[in-house]
Amino acid sequence: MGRYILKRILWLIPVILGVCIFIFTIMYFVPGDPAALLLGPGATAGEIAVKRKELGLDHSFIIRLLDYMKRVFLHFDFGRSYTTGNVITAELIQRFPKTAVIGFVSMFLAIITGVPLGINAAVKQNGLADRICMMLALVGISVPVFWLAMMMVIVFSLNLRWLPSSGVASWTGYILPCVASSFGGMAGLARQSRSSMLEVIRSDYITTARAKGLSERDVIYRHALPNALIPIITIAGNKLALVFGGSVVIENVFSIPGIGTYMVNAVNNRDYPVVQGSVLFLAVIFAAVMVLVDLVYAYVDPRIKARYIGSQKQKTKKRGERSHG
Amino acid sequence: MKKQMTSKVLSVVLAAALLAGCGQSKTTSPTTSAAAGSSQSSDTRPAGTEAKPVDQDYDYSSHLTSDGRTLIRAAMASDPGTYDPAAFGSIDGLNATATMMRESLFERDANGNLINQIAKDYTVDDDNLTYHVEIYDYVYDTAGNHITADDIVFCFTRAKENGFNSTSLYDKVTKDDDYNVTLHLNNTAMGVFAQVVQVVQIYSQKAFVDAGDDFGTKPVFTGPYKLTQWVTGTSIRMEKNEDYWQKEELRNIYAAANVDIIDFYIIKEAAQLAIALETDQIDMVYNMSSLEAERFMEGGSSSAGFYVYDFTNRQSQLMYLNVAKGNVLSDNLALRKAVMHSIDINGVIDGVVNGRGIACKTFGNDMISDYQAAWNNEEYFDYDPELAKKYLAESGYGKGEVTLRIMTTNDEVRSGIALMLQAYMLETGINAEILTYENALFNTYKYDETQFDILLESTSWNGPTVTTWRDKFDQRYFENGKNGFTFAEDSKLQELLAEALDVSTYSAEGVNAFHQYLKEQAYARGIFNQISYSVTSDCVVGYMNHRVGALFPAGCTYVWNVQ
Repeated sequence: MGRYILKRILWLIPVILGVCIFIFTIMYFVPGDPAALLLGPGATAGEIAVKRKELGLDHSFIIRLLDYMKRVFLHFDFGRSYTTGNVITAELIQRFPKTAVIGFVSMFLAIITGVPLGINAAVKQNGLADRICMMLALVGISVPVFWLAMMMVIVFSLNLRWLPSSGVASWTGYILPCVASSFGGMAGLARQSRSSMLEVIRSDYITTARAKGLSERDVIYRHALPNALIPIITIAGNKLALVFGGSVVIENVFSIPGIGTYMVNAVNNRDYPVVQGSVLFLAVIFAAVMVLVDLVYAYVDPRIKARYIGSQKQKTKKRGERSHG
Repeated sequence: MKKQMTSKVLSVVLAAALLAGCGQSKTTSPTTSAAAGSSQSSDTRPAGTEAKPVDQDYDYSSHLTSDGRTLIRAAMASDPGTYDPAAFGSIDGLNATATMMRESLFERDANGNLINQIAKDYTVDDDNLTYHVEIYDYVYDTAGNHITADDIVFCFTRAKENGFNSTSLYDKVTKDDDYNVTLHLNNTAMGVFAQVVQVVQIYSQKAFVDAGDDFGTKPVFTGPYKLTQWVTGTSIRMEKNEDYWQKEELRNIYAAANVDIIDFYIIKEAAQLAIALETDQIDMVYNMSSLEAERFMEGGSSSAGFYVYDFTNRQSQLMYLNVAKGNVLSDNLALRKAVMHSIDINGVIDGVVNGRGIACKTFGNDMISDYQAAWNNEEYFDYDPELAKKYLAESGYGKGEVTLRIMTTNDEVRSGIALMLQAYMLETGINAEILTYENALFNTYKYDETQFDILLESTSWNGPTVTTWRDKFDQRYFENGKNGFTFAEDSKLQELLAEALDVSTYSAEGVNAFHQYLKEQAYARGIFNQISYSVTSDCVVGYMNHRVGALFPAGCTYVWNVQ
């Protein structure tokens, strides 16, 4: 199992390298000169040339790429923002917790509401509960998150005065963004949970479990759900990545200084180091989440775990046979 | 049957719920001077920012901190990023906050006149390039550092090394003695000195060196307020500098400090601004959209406890025609005039900003210092579809034979203007294609003569109009040697501009001559200035903007100033 974990972690390296090269190349070809944008319309060609040299933009693509990769991978230095001159790593570290809180809390809310909804819908298939659950899921998928966020602000901030309308000065400021952000995930998980459970519920071993006299609760939660979890975990992992990447809408509506707005502002200002640093940062986070998802697979599904333990035992046996043979 | 009924009921409920959220309740018409939807509204001036009546019994205890200091909360659109005067940061955030902390040698009032800040006086040599500036000998920053000529030289040199705005207009600054410096300009155009001395912010070299890399986030300046707390991306707190260096009787309008503490909260979304104001999270909002501001106007749903101040925004919407060689508009004055006379500016104002705008009568607006009242009574590309069609026929193109590309940003107002222009030009028989880009790409493409035929942009006006005309049309100002975003190579235009610009030849006749020629050639035009709204709680009885186009809470008058 340890080898499996190590192997997955080592696979991160080429993935991150690939992301680094890809995003650097994309930003290189995006039109718009950062030096000219910084200096404004009154800048002369000479001033722009000096600024480009100062920012290192006068070198060739390969030299700039290699220089960037050296700084990032050997010194863990994302550089400084062209616009503000602030250290990017420090900004990311300061902003990431806010995005992470929204991401993880909204995912948690999506799981604890979406999965039971889906299970309920599957167990009571074609009944009223099923229709209500699926209608909620349809609404959750269809409703744009910015509209939902504004509606919640109008109801809970403006009319009821229960919660702040924007900002995260206190923990109450996270409630509305997390709930708004979780709605889409809840809907997707509910649908996937229903679909997975329906497949599993019709299996022979479920019939056997019922025939053995187990309670319906045991049948569903001890026998059916573990077998239905793999696709649900996959969807949950993907949704988490989407929440991180799509957080800019929620951050804009609620004025949360997270990574989403940092990145979008940087793209608009052609602040290359910030864009590259933010994308790399999120790529590492996402890759780590995917490794975690794989580990959860192994934990949840004994077949996957057994495969790895079995393969280890086979290798050990073969080595033993070779040495005795 | 039962299942079908249930499905139908649920569908109706769902549809009703979705539609309920989309609709917006209609408020009663606001009783402001700028009524919506009226073709006369484009000439209606805003009520302005006159003082409100003061209630002597007003209870402002909610604006007091526990130690009895007054507190006001304002919103701003973005985080400043950095307060380093030689770095760029975010314009919106800096304009909202830095104006109360940082000072330059001189500032400009709303009419573009110089007012003293760090500098006491200046003289200019006959060459109009060498300016001798004397600073006050008792200027101190919030850390107690004494500002001398060495600091002035340091600030100007550092700004120039960083390529900061307008620093290409001077060669160097030299020290004469402890409190006197000489500024060596390289341009004798009108307004250059004023532009340079108010753009470069002054700070202590010692403070900069002591702060190291932290100067941008822990700034030390000379202004009437100091930064005491900054939660990046969330809020900024500024407190009155009790040891502000300037004598009370010599303080200029930007040295006012009518409130002890100002908290700024970053709120990006327009609707959220209105909600934050209504839920008493903030006390003042600058430049609220007219749709949101209507709720706070008299008769609106949230009017009690709020004041709405309306003013003409100094940012003018502008239009340029590309006359680069080879372009369809080049050497075709008739086609250019056909375009100009196709457009009903009042209709554009009604359609884009709901009637809340003032039509331009020059390439600029009537708030600039050398605007000439006679221009109000002149014809300025009046809307005349029949004349436009006549010009189109003269241009050699039939109806629908020519297509022009209108380029603009994806800004809501400018996109709206582009749509209106397209519709009006279509009536004349000129097809138009709209190209919208985000800011960075737009600012790159607008220097490329192959990218557009008509360019829409906007500019804020400070100081004499010729200063901005220089930025937009002066061949010496553009690397391609052409007349700015028109890409004209018109020697007469350049000659008239040079005459109007130079300090030694500047005159009202010269300004008018350029205005008339620009109009005759139909190279470019002003479109309109939008009427903007600031909404405050009713503790703000006197409103003030800074000339950079931002709310100036320090200079507003509050009930505690007049009770």
